[in-house]
Amino acid sequence: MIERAVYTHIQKIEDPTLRNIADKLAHLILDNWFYALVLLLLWRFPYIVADLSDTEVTPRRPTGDSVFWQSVMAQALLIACLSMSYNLLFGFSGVISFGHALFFGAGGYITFLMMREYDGAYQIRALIVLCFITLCLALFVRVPIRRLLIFLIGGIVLILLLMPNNDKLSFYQAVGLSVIGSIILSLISGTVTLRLRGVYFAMFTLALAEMFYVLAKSGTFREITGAEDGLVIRDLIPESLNPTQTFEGHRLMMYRITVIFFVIVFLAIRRYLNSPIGRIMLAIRENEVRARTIGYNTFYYKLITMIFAGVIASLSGVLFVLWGTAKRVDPSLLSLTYTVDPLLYTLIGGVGTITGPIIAALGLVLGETYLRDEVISIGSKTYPIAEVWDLFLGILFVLVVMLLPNGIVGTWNKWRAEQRIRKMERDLQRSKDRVA
Amino acid sequence: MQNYLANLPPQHRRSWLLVVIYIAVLLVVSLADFGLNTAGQTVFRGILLGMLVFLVASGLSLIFGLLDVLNFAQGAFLLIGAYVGNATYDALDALSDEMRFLAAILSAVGTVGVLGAIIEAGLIRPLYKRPIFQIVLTFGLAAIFLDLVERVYGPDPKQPIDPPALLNGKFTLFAQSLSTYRLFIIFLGLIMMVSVYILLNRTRIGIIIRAGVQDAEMVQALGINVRRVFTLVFVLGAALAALGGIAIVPYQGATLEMGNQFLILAIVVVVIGGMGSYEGTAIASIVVGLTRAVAEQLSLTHFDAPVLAETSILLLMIAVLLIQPSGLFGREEA
Repeated sequence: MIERAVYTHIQKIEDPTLRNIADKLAHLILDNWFYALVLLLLWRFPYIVADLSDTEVTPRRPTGDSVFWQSVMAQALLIACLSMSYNLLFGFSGVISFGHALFFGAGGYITFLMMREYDGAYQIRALIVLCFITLCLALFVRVPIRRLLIFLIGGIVLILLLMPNNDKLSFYQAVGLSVIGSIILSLISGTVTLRLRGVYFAMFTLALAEMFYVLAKSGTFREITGAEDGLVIRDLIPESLNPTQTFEGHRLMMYRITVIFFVIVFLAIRRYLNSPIGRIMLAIRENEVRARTIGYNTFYYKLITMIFAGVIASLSGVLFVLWGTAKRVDPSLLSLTYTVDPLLYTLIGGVGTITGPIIAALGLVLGETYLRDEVISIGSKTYPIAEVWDLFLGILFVLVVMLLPNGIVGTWNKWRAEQRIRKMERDLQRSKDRVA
Repeated sequence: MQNYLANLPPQHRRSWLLVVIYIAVLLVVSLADFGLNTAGQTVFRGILLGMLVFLVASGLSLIFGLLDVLNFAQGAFLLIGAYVGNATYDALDALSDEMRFLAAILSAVGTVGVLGAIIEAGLIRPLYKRPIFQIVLTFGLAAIFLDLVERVYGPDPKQPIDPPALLNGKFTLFAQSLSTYRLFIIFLGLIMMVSVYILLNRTRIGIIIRAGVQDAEMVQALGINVRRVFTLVFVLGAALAALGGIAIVPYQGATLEMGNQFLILAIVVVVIGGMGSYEGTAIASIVVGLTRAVAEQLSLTHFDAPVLAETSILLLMIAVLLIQPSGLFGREEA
């Protein structure tokens, strides 16, 4: 109804270029009205909460419901990003990685280690090491020589741009380096692990991630990683990006940055899946042997997907650290929790759907926070929700694995498709009847 | 022995050679570096660790060999075994030490065995059509169990319990006085190693299991209820892990990290030994235990950094995967 009204209105525009533009815009909005609505809701979320709870969006002292829910929502969005990147591997390439937390934690660790430890003297050495690693990997992966040159030159230019000649790296430069770091990390782990099939891959990634967790946690490297206490980053975060700063507006600003990051990740993943590489990925998931027979180097495409997922995970990790109240990068970021959670959300939301992990992650993270203070009473005993939440999550997980293999969104999509087919069949029958 | 060597496939003969050379190198390095006494203690520690890892890894390997299920919950079974056993030991303080310890072992093995049966029959069996979900399920279950154990028994590590007087003596080995309990662990591991070997090779159920590893459908077609054997093997694997768990408690106490630690070690063992190969698992657990102990000692004396040992077993795993992706004693395909 609305669509028809809008389009007839657009048809009345005289100027052809203007009409064209209006037409495209209307298409963009009307075809994606659901996403546009969600985005609007996310953007206005602090204000909505403020209206509902009668608190300020940017109070002078950071207390009140709106402020609290801003940070909860932001963290939920980042976990959703992590789940999406996990789903990219698990749902869209059929690669079961149990070491995704490695990338999530690596983002925070590399960024802030770089900021703290960086010294101008390392510059040349870092460059040489990077070139060496790239060359070794290129020989190993057998990348075509032209592509290799582009990578090398691009990498060197990027580093020269990023690395300053004075003493300190800025936060943004460090984030850039952490992106490069996570690319190298996923390249290395990918070249070793992607040669393995199914179970071997799963085991190897688990062992690798667990090793880094142990290394980060051990007291031996206390001077570098801070062992169990982690890196203290209070002084390293730029003031404008510190969401728990008491100055007005910083939290809201940071919330908006997080929403924008989320939208970019969502669009990038959607674009990636619709690109030729993404299509080949789907082919590999469906039947790897066949994809290889057709002539695709399946290893190469899996590696690219792994790098993509790794970069997204590490960037979400950096933002997640910024939102934390403790202002620390601690080993728990590398722990199994951040592998299990995305896996759970992906499964519950729907393996191989774009929106599934988002819905599950937002729903469950927000739900947990909302219900935290409630109490369940079974018989005469009462249990606070916060204590039994993990159990509930576990039961939900088992139920979904057993009963809904496609997850919530997957099942919904299947049901919708069935409805549509049934409707088409009915229409066909009706037209046949009419002819008869 | 001659017969055994003659019947080995050439690849396995090469693997034997590699293992023997590797262990010899380890021994020589540790002798040259630490001197006789420390080297002897290190090797003893390595064998002890190897036996404990074997209890977890043999279950992992058996279950994968027969059921094609990678059981990530194996570490959690060890954890549950340790905590339940510990709790039983604490609860029964009216009895004598021997009885308490026996009760702890029985309760740990029993609880985990029943748990294993429930999991296999209730959760894993409906999923044989969707193998990926089986892996995901066991992985999720491991996380859930870890959480439950933390909730029920608290996050603090448990102190080692006193082993019964029978096993609490002292003996001297390489100029160090050690508790006899350590010998008991090694004997326990050896007994389990041999008895499972006998079960697999000398009994009717064993021949069914070995046939099932080769081709489960064919065994089914011969009129044997393979599903029941599947459950049995799952229970056996889980119970072995639980036994390992309760065996550790008097030696090191119980911590929440224990499950994952041993799971990782078991994974490395299974990858090195070859999935589904029993003898491979037995040999690889000794190799991994020795490597771990020697690396620990090396990094302690040279770098003052015991965590480096953690990386050593991973490097070993990478090396084996590069040399022979199906493991040293694994089947051809993998």
